Amino acid sequence: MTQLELTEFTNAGGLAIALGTRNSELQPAFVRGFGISLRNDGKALSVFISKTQAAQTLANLKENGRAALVAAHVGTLTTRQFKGAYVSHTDVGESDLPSVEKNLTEFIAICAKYFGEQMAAQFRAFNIFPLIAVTFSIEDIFDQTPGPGAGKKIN
Amino acid sequence: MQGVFPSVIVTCNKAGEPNATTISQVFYVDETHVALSFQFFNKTIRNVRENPKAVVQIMCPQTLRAWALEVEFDHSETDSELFEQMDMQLEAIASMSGMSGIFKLQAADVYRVKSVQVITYN
Repeated sequence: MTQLELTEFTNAGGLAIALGTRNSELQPAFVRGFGISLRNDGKALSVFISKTQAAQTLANLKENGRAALVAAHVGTLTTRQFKGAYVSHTDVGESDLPSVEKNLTEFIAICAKYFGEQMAAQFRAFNIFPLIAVTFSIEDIFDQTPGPGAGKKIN
Repeated sequence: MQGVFPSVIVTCNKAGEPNATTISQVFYVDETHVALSFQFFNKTIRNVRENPKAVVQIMCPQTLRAWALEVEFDHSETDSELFEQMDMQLEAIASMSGMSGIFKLQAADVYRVKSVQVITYN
């Protein structure tokens, strides 16, 4: 995956995002993401998660640092998984809000197109704030678009 | 569990590396079991055979309520009524998502549900 492809994918919007972690007993955990943004010239990725849902994920990351994020474009089903090591987390600032806004706007527009305006309205009613940005280094990227090629390493 | 929204599963291998991916089908078996479609031999399939613990996120397409199911891999079925039912539903999901000819059920992987947590953003 070239840097341009990486940038285009992360900036496209319309992504369904989930961040996976695990605890010391190897019990996996999940939290939904509402946007992603590249950091450090594409060497790291920030994912924006709701603070109310973040406790287990943050505890796991502080304990062992391992992160696996899956992002799927809800229109094309193009899917990527990013794996890496926890760097930091901070409250989401003004500079990150456009990324979140773009992702959600595209996501809701695609949902409205395929599933109707009622579903889109329900998504708009989600109260996801406050958000925090969890940043991890990008060590590996995998293609996870549904099909026999899913799982192929692409970085 | 109608396959409208792709679900997410997070697993972890025995070395401690988590893996997150979307799955096309989570099938209700009974009050304490769900089955996931095994279509390709991938990291999820490998991981749960090393470490059976997983978490699955599902979402209701009508209400958008979501749940996190903490599950544990139990066994795999390839010749059963469950397999046939999942195969038929998977064909419908594939057709709906433009994936006909790509999705092919290899096995129905049955998981025991350990806990269910409601995910709310209200």
